[in-house]
Amino acid sequence: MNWNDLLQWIVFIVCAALVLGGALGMTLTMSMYRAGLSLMLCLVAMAGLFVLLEADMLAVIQVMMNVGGMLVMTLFMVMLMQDPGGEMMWDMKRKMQMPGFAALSMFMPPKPKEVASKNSSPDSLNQMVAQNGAKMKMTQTNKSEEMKMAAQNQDGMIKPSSSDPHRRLREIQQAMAVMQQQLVALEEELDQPPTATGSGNMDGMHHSNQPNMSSQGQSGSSAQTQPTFYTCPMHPEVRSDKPGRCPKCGMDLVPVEGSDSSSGSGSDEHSGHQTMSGMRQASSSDGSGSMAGMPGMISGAGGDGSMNMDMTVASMQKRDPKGYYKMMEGMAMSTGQLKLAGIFSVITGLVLVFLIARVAWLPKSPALDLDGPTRVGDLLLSDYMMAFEGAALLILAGIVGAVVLARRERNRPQKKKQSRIASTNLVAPKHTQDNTPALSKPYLQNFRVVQKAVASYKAASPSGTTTQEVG
Amino acid sequence: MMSWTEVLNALAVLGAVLVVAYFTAYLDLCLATRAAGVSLTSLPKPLGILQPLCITFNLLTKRDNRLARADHLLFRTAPIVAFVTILMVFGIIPWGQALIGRDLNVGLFFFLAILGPVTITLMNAAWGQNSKNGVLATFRAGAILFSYEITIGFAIIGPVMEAQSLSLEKIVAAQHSIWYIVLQPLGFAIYLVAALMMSFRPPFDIPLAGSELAGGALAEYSGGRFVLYKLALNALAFLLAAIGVALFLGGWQGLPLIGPFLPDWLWFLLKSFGLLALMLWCGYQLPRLRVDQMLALAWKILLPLALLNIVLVGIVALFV
Repeated sequence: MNWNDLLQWIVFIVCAALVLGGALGMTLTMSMYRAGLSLMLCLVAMAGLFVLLEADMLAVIQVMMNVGGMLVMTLFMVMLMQDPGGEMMWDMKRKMQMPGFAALSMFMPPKPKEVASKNSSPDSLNQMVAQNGAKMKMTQTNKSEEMKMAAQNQDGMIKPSSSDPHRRLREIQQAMAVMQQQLVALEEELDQPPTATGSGNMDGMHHSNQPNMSSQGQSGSSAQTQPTFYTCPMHPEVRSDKPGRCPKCGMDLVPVEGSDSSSGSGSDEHSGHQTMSGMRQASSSDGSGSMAGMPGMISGAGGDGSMNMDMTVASMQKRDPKGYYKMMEGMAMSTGQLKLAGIFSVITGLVLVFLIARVAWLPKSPALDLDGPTRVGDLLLSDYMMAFEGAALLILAGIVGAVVLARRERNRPQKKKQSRIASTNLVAPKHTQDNTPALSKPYLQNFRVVQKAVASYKAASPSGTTTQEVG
Repeated sequence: MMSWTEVLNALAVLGAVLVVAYFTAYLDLCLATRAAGVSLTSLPKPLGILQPLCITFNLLTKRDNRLARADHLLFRTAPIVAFVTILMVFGIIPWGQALIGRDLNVGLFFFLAILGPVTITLMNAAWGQNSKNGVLATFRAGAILFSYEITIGFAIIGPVMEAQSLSLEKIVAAQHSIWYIVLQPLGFAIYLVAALMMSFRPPFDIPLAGSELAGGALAEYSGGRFVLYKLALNALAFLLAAIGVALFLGGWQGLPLIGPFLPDWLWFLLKSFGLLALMLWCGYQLPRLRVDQMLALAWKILLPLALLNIVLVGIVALFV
């Protein structure tokens, strides 16, 4: 193998890796902007493969078409979708404490078997405490017995009864939970009049060391009267008494336990602020992570978008990992269709491989110049016929799938359409009045006047100031 | 075949990029100074020729900003990708007779296709910094891409029709008797406007607008990355002028009447910098266009004119 062959192999491997990496990146990333770019990378790297096959024209066409096409797609996603930077989904993953690669992906985690049974990191401790609290809440009726148990556990905490470390940990945590419950109740007795129930729920939403304890302590009094309600993970304003689908996006409604009145009361703003601080804390804690999400994009795009997201995250924080999992399942865009799409792509790949292996190529005439449409047509009908037919087939399947999905969407009952674009204000600031024609005389004159003024100012100032802005 | 000459070739292209980018920066400095009504003698001696170098070193001593909550992958790679992309296109510039990095058969098409990603990198830079101005700059850069891509594509079809090739070498050689600016003045004008859009120069510098977006896409860069991006943008401006020279002004060939009393590469450089100076000077005389005005200009005026140009060129090619 000489140097030239080696180089070709290297280029081929790099291009192929980029193609596959781009495809994977598109399906796995949570930022729509990044997904569009990954697809672009995938298709441009494919152009590199074309160059290796000495089909320069095809390569250039590939780049030209796909850069423009993917760009339009990306821009539309950024303009129309709610969370183009992928912050919300990513934040959710972060809260589910999925490490490493999985935290960056759309990949569905396995169902959590038992919460925080193995490791004893502070986060899992918190979850555990939360879960214990939830358990106690369900058994509100024998609350007094719990209290008694807590009193016993206060002793048991110092000298644990069991030798099994997991079990000991559990006991200690249980005791801590109860103690905190008491502590909060005591604090509340001291600080606040008993009418201010509900605000404690909000305390549980920021990242403190006792996430849900304070809320548990209070909802002990309120949860008996307030029923559990269902809400949409994407649209927290949607509420329902029974499970079903969200009228806006069609996702499954998820149950929310706790008092309904808290989020509707005047403490809304408070909760939003705390949630934001919690999010900030969460994102800064992952340090030099390669990607930080983009809530700024949302708040930049529309006024209500950020608030929506805050509420969603706020409602999320009350959930244990199982609840997160259920919500993720509801939010994943390809729950049922993913398997079908996988099967279809495998079948298509097999058919293509079969055709490429079995069908005889048309002979190509070597006399033709590389530069010219005849050559392209020749190449299309000889070397790349199967590839192009396959691509056409895939596109056709995509169109059919889109139509099917659209029909399914239309059959769904929709109450009212709410346009998010209306609230976004992404047009450029207008310097002039609308009716002023472009480059009109007065405008130009104004410009010149300003120019003159600047010039005279700069001439008056010491030399060197004018050169600062040109790098 | 891979050989040492090819490596040298690539290094020569890299050197050429650095040199022309430097002089483009200097030319831009001079024109900006003049446009502000200040005499060139007020620049640091000698005539500010060392000024870009000083600014570069000054910038290189600055700290590399680390943004909080930015999309670091996009933000950091953007200048590098932009520079590499422009470097690739410099390989197809015909500097002189048989003085070309690589004469591609689809050279002109390559030029168009590869420069699309440069705009994308500008969008990445703007989006990656995760600020409101950045989002605006992203959309503005996208609008620029939509404006110039079709227009410039139709503008360069004219020379391709005349020369019947996409290879820049052949297009230059075909202008031996008459330059295409004589046959297609309309196409030349359209190319100039589109090239101004494509190089993000005034009056089409909306994604970088200092007075509106506080620097837009480049606002958050500092240090080496900023220098690299500036270098790439300056090289891009020269590249567009050079391609314009190759397409419409006879490339490396001397003036028709005077004859080639200068070396061919010197002719090419002179013409390119002359065209660049014309483009930049025109830009500095005009106020910045809004996005809608720019899109209207591109799609309602330039595109029909470019189509008309194609018809005219067809008639000329058939009957003259």
